[in-house]
Amino acid sequence: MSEPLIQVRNLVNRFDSHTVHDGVELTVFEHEILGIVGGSGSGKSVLLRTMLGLHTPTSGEVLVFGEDIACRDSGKLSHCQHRWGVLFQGGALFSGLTVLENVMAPILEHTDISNSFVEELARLKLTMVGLAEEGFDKFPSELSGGMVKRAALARALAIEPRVVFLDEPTSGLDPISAADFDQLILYLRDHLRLTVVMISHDMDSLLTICDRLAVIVDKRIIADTTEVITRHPHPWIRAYFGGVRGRAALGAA
Amino acid sequence: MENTNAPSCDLDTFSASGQETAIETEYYFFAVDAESGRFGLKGDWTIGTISKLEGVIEELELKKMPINSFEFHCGGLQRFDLSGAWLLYRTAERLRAAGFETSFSGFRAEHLQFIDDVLNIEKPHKSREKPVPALVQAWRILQAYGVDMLNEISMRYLWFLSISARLVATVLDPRRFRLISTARHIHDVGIKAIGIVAMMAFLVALVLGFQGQNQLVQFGAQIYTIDLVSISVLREMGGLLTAILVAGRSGSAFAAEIGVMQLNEEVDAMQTMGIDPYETLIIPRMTALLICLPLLTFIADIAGLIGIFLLATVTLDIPGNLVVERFLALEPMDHFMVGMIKAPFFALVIGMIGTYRGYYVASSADAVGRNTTNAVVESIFLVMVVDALFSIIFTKLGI
Repeated sequence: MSEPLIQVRNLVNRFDSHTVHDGVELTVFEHEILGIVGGSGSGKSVLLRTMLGLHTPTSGEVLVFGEDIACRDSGKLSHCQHRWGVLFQGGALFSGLTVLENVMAPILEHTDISNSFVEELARLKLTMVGLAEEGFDKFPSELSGGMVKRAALARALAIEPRVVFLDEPTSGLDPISAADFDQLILYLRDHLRLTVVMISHDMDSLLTICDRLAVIVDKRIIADTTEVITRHPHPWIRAYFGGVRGRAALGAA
Repeated sequence: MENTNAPSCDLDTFSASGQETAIETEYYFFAVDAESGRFGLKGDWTIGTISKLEGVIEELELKKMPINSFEFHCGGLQRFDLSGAWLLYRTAERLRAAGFETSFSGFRAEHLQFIDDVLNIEKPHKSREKPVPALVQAWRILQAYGVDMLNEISMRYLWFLSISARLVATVLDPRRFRLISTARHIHDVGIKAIGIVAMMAFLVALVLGFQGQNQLVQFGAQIYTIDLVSISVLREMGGLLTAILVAGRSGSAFAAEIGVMQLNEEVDAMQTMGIDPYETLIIPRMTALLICLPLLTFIADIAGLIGIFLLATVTLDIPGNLVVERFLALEPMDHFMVGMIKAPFFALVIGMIGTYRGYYVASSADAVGRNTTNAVVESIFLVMVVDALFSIIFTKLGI
């Protein structure tokens, strides 16, 4: 928990005259689950895209594994691309490939492992995220929402990343599947020694699995442990967690 | 880096035991003595390094060793991940299956976690299906192919019927006709295509004229170049080439537009709002094609005739009035009508296939691309078929 894996320093993002981020500071420590929270349009996705090198910020530094990727230098980026995995909101599975091929794709791209062994690894990962054997040869269009998320998570884990970024991992899932997915994320964090950065609106998953929360308010980030953030005096944060705290209190009583 | 000495310590103990075989590489150390084999893991066993390992382990031919137990020792193991654990597990499992005893030693807690994971996960194995005889397989493929084809043909036939019925219904009840949408499609399908259609017909007439003239001049019959080109342009080339061009331009556009709307669930949205997607999407496109294709054919005919007129007067040195006289002697109106009467049928074929391919797109992005391509290929093919049918009919009728 001590070593910072990702550091965002004084990040500014401006689109024309519209400022999204104005001096964002964020540190992600090894082996933690960090939840990013914010209102619609507060720039959660822009922050994530900046951390992934998909977006060039107006100014500021983004250090991932100690490399500044804010300038989107392709050498530095490829150094990182071997070591992170991303679960996009809609899954972003390649529609022309089967589920199994989707998971095999990044391994085949980054290593020289033989095809048959790559297939075994892909099967292992798919089994690990809880997909049934019958689903392996299906195309993404034939899967349910929950299966798409799981398959996409298996693909994100394919090259044994140190960090996974999850964009709304439980959105669109029913509460039971969402809770299962939360447990899966916890399990993977503990067992694969992962660091997890997730954007979520799902109160239950934020409060049950996140070690720390980073809230985007007033174009900056307030980050602290989940415990502290839920009691933070900022009006937006109070409004956001207000209902939940009541619920949590009820649950405790 | 404090680990770098660990493997060499192990190696010392190995070598002291007086084994018969010993191999050492960057990633493992392997030693065999009288009754057991020791396999020492070294360095990194991660997804980045196992490509160098998986083959080597096969090559060691562990199964042929004259011993009955293996010990996996990993005092020297540094980085380890799930993929490495799987390779280790698989190797041990194969040895066990071959009747060896296996044991593990020297793992650190963080390594064991991965081993535990691999052991806990229900093992994914390729499901082996019984091999089917080649003949049976071939028959199944043929059967599936045949059923597929029949299915596709009947689907198109039904689509053709329902669209025809809607077209008739729209004629009977003009209030349901979408004028603005139709106008937009007329602009896209017709007006924007005028330039390219005219240009193409003009050039084709020139090319035909040059080739024809080269052959006919051998018999001193170069005057017949005029007959050759104007009849073929009016009867066949004008209509056919226009139809092919429109199939490429608009048939593909229809398939792509409607396909993307279908993927976006826009068509479903329309239906839930009580808006008839046939009325709003299909009929305006069909109407636009039915109006534009004959007009474009007419423009192609004119452009082709201008082409042959220029060719005759410039390269054949035939005076203009003589060319016109020769042309009129061919009774061009008959040929023109033969060409024109086919245009609406071509329009029907192109519109049907384009909209059908868009409407029944499977739910994935690459299906849109595939369907768009197929829409063009299929509609050009069917245009040819229709043209051939008309040729037979006209020959029978003696026109």
